Amino acid sequence: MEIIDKIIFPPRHDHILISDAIIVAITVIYFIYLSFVTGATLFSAGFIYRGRTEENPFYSRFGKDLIQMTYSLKGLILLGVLPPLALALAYAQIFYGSDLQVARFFEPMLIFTIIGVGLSMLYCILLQKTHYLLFQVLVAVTSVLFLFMAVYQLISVNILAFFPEKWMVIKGSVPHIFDATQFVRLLHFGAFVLTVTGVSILFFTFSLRTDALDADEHYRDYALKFGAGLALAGTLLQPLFILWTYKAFPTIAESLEGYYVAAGLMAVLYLLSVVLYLVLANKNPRLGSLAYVLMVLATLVLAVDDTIARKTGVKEQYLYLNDEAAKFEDKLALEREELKSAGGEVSVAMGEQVYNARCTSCHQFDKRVVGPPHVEVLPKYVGKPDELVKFILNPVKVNPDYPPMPNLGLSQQEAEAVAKYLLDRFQKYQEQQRQ
Amino acid sequence: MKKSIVPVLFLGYFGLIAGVLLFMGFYWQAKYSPPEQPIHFPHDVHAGKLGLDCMFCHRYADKSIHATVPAMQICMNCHQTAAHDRPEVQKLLKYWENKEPIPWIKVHDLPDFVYFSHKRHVKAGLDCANCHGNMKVVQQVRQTRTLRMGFCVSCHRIKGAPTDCLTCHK
Repeated sequence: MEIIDKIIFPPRHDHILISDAIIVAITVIYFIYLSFVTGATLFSAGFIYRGRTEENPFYSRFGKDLIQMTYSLKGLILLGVLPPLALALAYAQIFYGSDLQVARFFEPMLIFTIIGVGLSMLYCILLQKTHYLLFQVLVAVTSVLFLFMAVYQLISVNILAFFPEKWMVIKGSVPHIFDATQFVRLLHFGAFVLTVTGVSILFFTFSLRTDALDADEHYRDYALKFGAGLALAGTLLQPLFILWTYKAFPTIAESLEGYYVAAGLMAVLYLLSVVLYLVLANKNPRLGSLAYVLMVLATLVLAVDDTIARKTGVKEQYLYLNDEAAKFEDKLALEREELKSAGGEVSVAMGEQVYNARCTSCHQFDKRVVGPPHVEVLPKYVGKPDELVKFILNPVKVNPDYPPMPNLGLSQQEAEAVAKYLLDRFQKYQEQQRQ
Repeated sequence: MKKSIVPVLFLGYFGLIAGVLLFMGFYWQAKYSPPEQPIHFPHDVHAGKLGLDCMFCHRYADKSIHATVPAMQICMNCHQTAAHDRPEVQKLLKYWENKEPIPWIKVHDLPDFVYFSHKRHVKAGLDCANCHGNMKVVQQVRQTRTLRMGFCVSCHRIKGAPTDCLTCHK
């Protein structure tokens, strides 16, 4: 992944926007996927254990159904493998030119995800093929541990992205930040797992795989009660962790907008909790789809809040990116002009490009800024472009009324183009004056 | 009856937490948001576009424990003539004509029990941006590092600088 940091090219204005959008969208998908696989594996193992020890096949069936909801190779590739790769690219673009070599963190994230989800799938297969309970539970627990480590990576990168002070202490590709923010966010992940797993049980059982329901009233009731109850518990716990997160937030990443969005998140979570309560109270599973949509919306708001924190915490990095993008776009325009005036010829248009990019912060044509107006100093260079080129390449103090002009380090060709442009424009200016 | 009260309880719970979050936001804005300076001095123009070295204005950073906010005379070296048409420069000229100092608001303020020498750090080859962030791109100055003990000690450990209490607490 380090290669990503090396090959990433200078940003353009739209790259920055796209990278932020990718980070929000992909984080939502990836985080929900990881949470669901973690929750499903964990609770499924719990049900299998309970079913076996209490010798109650009902729980075993529920445990099997639960893990089968996540069993999908396509899911692993689309939701588990592609997201870390896309995130690595987007983050590398955002942190272009900074001290944070960010892409390296996504390599362990990818590996942990593949092993974690792979073991979860193996656990699902083991449920069909063997009866060794200990083995099944062991595989499930190991899977959850790996998934947890993938989440640890994701959360840590999120924090590093808005907390530049920590960059210097991070060594290797697993960021141990040892900060309250990291600890609270891992706890928050626990609550999030409950919400996602619960809502997904409702959604999968009652909206997607209705065939599994058949006529078993008891199963239907249990799935509804367990799913909605679990999700409701998670949804009620989340605000506490969000509040705690903000208490532990680094001042540099705080902003009023961030707090507004967090308060908005409370509104979404409130709606979600009411919907879940209605599912429970009225035994109405049809609201499961609505709960799923609200859960995705809540995750989206969380991701947006993190983006606001990043844009505030590393504001200087974003300003630098925009600066670099502007420079890069100027350079491209210049190269286009150079191509047009191939064979060493310099054009007025190229001179105008260089002039606008390099000279206008101190000079205006007919007004005094930092340096003198061109109309005052150009008359002595009319017909002597070589002298003007010489001055631009090696400026000396002429008029004591102005500060000395710094050497701007233009190339011979650029200086010639600027001189040509200035004299050309001056000639037009004189003609205008005569009329 | 019992059913209808639960959503109201939820509303109270989520509303309370949203209220606390908003309060924290306003508290942050009142206490920690970057201050509005008397003149909007653009670092991005001076250090970025014009490429002036930090020590062109903060000229004691490598000679004294203080980097110092530049004396108005340093501004006037150029602005005697430069950019008089800009409103922020006109503010500067007004202070200059009235012989009043500019009431800059201090952004980086270490507690009195900390001894910190700019000179030592500049001489050791540290970049200004290590503690102040990239000033070449910002307009409004803010503190980009906590400048708490953990921050200082981490860097001292990495660079092999002394971590004796007496190094910073005289």
